[in-house]
Amino acid sequence: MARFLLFMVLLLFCLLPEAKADSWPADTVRLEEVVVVAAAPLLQERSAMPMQTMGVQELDRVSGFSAAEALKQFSGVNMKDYGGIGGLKTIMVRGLGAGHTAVMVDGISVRDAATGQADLGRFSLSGLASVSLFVGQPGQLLQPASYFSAGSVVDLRSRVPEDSEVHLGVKTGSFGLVSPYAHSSLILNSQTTASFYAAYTKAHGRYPFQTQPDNTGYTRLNSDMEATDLNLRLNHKRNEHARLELQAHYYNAERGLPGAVVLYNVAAGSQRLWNEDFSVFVRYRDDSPQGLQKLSTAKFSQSFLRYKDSAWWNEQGELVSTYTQREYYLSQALAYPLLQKLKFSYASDFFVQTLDATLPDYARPVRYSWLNHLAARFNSGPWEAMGGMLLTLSHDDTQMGKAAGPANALSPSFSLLYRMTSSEPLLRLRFMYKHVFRMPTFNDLYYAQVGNPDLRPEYAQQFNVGIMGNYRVHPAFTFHGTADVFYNRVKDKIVAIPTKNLFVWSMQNIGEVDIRGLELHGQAAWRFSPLLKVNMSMNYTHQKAVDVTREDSPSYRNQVPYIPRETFSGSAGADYSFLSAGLSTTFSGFRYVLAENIYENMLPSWWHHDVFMAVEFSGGPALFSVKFEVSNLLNHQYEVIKSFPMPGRAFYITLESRF
Amino acid sequence: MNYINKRVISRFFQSLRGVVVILMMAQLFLTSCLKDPQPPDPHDIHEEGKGVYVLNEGLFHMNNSTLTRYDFETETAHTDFFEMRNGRKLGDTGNDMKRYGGKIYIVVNISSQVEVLDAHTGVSLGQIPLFDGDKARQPRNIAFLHDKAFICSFDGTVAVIDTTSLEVEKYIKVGRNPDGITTANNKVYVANSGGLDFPNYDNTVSVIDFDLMEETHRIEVGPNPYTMEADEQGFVYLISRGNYEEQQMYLQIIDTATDQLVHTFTGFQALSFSIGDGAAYVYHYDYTGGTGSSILVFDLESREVIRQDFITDGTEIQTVYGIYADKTSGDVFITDAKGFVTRGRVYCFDSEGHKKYSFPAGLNPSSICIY
Repeated sequence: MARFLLFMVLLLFCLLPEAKADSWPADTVRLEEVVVVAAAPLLQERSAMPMQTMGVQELDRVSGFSAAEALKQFSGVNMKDYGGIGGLKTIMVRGLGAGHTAVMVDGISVRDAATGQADLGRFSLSGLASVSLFVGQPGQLLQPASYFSAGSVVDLRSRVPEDSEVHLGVKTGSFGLVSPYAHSSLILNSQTTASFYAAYTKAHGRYPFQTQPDNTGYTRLNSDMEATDLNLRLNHKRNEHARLELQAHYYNAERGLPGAVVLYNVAAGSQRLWNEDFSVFVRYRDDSPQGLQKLSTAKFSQSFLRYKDSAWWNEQGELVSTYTQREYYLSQALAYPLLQKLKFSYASDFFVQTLDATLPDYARPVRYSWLNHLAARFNSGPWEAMGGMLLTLSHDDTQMGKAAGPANALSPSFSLLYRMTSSEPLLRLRFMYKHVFRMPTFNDLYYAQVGNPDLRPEYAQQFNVGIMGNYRVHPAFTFHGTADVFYNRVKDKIVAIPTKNLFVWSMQNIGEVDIRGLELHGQAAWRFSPLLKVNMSMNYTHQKAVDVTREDSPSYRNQVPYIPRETFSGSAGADYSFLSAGLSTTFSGFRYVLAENIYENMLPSWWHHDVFMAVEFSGGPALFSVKFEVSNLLNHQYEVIKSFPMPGRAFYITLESRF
Repeated sequence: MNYINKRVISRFFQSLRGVVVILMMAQLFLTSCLKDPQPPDPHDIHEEGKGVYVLNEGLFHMNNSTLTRYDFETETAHTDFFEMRNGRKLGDTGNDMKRYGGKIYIVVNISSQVEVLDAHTGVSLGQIPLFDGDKARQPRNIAFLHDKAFICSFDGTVAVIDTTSLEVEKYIKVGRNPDGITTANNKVYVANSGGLDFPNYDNTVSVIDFDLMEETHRIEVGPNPYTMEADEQGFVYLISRGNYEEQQMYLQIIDTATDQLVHTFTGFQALSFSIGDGAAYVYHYDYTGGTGSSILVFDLESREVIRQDFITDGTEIQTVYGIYADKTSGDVFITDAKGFVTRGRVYCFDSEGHKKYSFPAGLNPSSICIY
C-alpha cells in the first residue's frame, strides 16, 4: 500500500507542470546569465571532524516545528521521538547514548543536570538561524571547554533580524496549533543593538492513530501544550573585533504527557508537566587576528519542573513532585598564534550545579565541575592537524546520603586534514580520534532507590576516517560529497538492572558496546538562471552497534535497542526568486526495542515524507511570505519508541511579514 | 513580482520535478533492498490437554506479556500460546495466573483486565475489565473460594467475580495498594502493601468474611506485605517486604483460627515462596550481596529449615523469578528471568531437587499452573 502511494506521489509530481517535458528552455543554462563566484568551500566541506549544518535558508525549508525536525535529516542521527507537539525528542549520534551529545544554544550548554539530556522539541525553528551537528567538536580554537567535552555537539544559533527590522509571524495548522512569534532588532546607538524574540505556542495536540495489527483507530489524548518563549539580547561593539553580549531567556510551558499506549487500557493519560526556566549570560569576545584572542562568559540559569499524576493510587490520590535546578557557570577561553602555522588555545570552564527535589529523603546534590582544555593547531601546506587534551575534575556533595566520589579524567582528541588536490575536483582526507566520557547524571546517582552513588563515568572512544569532495562540474552545477567510516567503543555503559532485589532496579556500569558504521552524504545544486536554483541532498548511514558485554548472554553481538542498521534522509527543492517548494524524506530501518534480536522485539521500519511550498511577495514597505506544509504526506502509521505512536498526516501554514 | 508568468512557473516545476524524481528513485531502490525481518512461520499446533502454563510478565509499557505452554506429551514449549489460540495479545504486564477448575485466570496489571481461558484449549472465555470510571484499577492477584474469584487491585479494592457468569458482582474496599490475596477458613486475606505511598508503607492484612462479603477486621503484620498463600491446616503465609533498605524481607504466618500473627521466620530473608505437600519452598535473590539466587525448604509442621539448598544436582539458575510447587506430583517449577531483558527459562525439579526437564519461556516468566 505504502509503495503504491509512493508511486502515486511520483506520478503526481511528473504530471504537475503543465508544460511539455521537452520544453526545457535552453536559455536558462546560458552561461552569461550565471554568476560564477569562486567561493571557498563551506566549513562543512573542509572540516576535519564530521560536521553538518543548516542555515536560515535550509531551515525555512524544513517542515514541522522544532530543531528536532532539522536534526532528523542529518546523517548518523537517531532521534528518540515520543511523538506529538509536546513529546520529548532527544538525539543519539552514531550509536552513542543521548548523554554523549552536548546541546549548545548561542554557545552556552543547556544540558539538564538530572537527565543529562536536552529536549530538542523545545527549540522552535522560527527562532533559529542555524542548526549544526559536529561529531567530536567544532574545529575552532576559541570556544568554551564544554564544547570539547562531549562525543558530539548540537550547536543552535538564534535568529537575529537585520538592524531595525521587525518580523511578525504565525504558524497554525493541525493539532490545534497556534504559534505567533515576533522578532525585532533595534539600533540603540552606533555601537549597540538590542534584539527581542517572543513566541507563544498553544496546541491541543490530539491526533488519531491506529494500533497494529488490527488497525483499530484511537485518538491520542492528553497531549496538549502551551509554551511561552522570550529572549532578549544586547550587543555592544567595542571595536572591529571586540564585542560584549548579554542575553536573557525565559521559558514557561505546561503540557500533558499522554504516556504509553497500553493494550485494553484506553484511559486518558493523567500525567502533566510544568516547566519554568530562566537564564541570563554575559559574554565578552575579542578575536583580533593578531595577538591574544579572548572569550569570557558568565551565566546563571534556573529551571523548575513540576510533575503531577492525578491517577496515582496513593493516599492523596495523586503524585506530585517538583525539581529545581540551578547552574552557575564561568568560562574563559584564550587563543594565541605562536607562529604563523601554529596556534594554541586554552579554555577553562567552571560549573556549579544544584538539584533540589520533593522526593522522600532526596540527596539534594551539588556538583562542582572544572574543565580545562589545551589545544594546538598546526597548518602546513596541505596539512592541518589539531590536538587537544581535556582535564575534567568533578566533585559532588549531598545533603542526604552518600555522594559520588570525585572524578578526574584526561581525555585526548586529535584530528588531521589533508588536502589531496588544489584544483577541481577538490578532495580532502580526514581522520579523527576522540576519547570522551559522560559523568553519571544526578538521576543516575541519586534518584530515589534507582540511583547508585558508586557509579563511574561512562567512556567512549570515537574514530573516524573519511574523504570529502567538492566538484564544480559546470559553472552552474556543483556537487559536494563525503564518505566516512567510523568506529566507536563504549565501556562502563550506565544501564539500569535489578540489584538488591527484583523490586529495586539500580544503575550499574556494566555495558560494553561496539559500533562500526558508514556514512555517505551527497548534495548537488543547479543554478539554471540567476533566479532559478535547484538543490538536492541525500544522507545514508549504516551502523552495526552490538552488545559485547557478556559472551554467555543471549544478546551477545546483537544490535543494541533503538539503533537501526540503516537510516536515510533526502531532500529536493527548487527556488525561483519569490517561489520555493520541496520534498524531504526520512527513513529508519527496523530496530529492536530490547537486547535480543528476535522478531517479537522488532519495531518496523518507516518512511516519513514532508512537502512544502512557500511564496514571498512585497506589499508596500513590508515583505510577506506564506508557507504551506504537509508533514507525513502518506499518513504512514509508525512508532519511533515502542507504544508511543507518531502522528499521521498534518498540515501547517505559516505567515510572516518583515518590515 | 515581474517574473510571474506561465513559462517561469512551468520551468520552476519542471526543475523541481527533476530532483524529486531522483529522490524517489533513491527511495524506491532503498525500499527494494532493505526488508524488515518477517515473522516466524505460524505453525499450527493442535496440542490440548495436559501441560504446564507459564505466564511471562514482559516489560512495563511494552504490551509484551505472553503465555508459554509446555506439553507433557510432545515435550515442547510454545510462546506465545495465547496469541496462537486467540489471535490477539495478552496485554501489558501479566502479574498473576491461577487455575480454578477448568478455567485459567490471568491478571493483567497495566492493561487492567482479567483474562479467563479454557484450561483445556487455551481459548479465551472472556476478558473482564477492571476500571473505576476511566481510571485503571490495576489488578494484582487472584484467589478463589467456593464459586467466587477474588481479585485485589492497587486502587484498594477486591473485586468479586462469579466463576460461572464471569461478571463482577461487587467491589469490597480494603487497605492501601493490596498486593497479595489468599483464602482460608471461609475467609479472604488481603495484604495491604501501601507501596504507592513509599516510604509510608502499610502493614496490615484485611480479612473479608465470605458470608458477609465485607471486610470485618485487619491484622497487623510487618511493613509492606505482599505474596500470600494458605496451607491446608488453616495457616496463611505471607512476606513482608520491609522498605528495601534496613528493614528486611521476612516470611510470616497468620493463624486463621484466631486471626493472629503467630510466627516470623527471622533466620532467612524471603522474596517469594510456594507451598507444596508438607513443605514450603522459599527463594531469595541478592545481587549486591553476591550470593545471587538461593532456594531453601522448610517443613510446614515443625517450621524448621530442612534443606538450605533445594537444588542438589548442581543446576545453575541465574535469576529465580517465580516458584511453584505442585502438590499432586511433588514437582517444583522454578523460573529463571536471566537478565530481565532477554527470554527466560523454566526448570522442573523433583522434590529431591534433581532437574527433570527444562524449557524456554518468554520475557520474565513468573506464574505457573498445571492442567
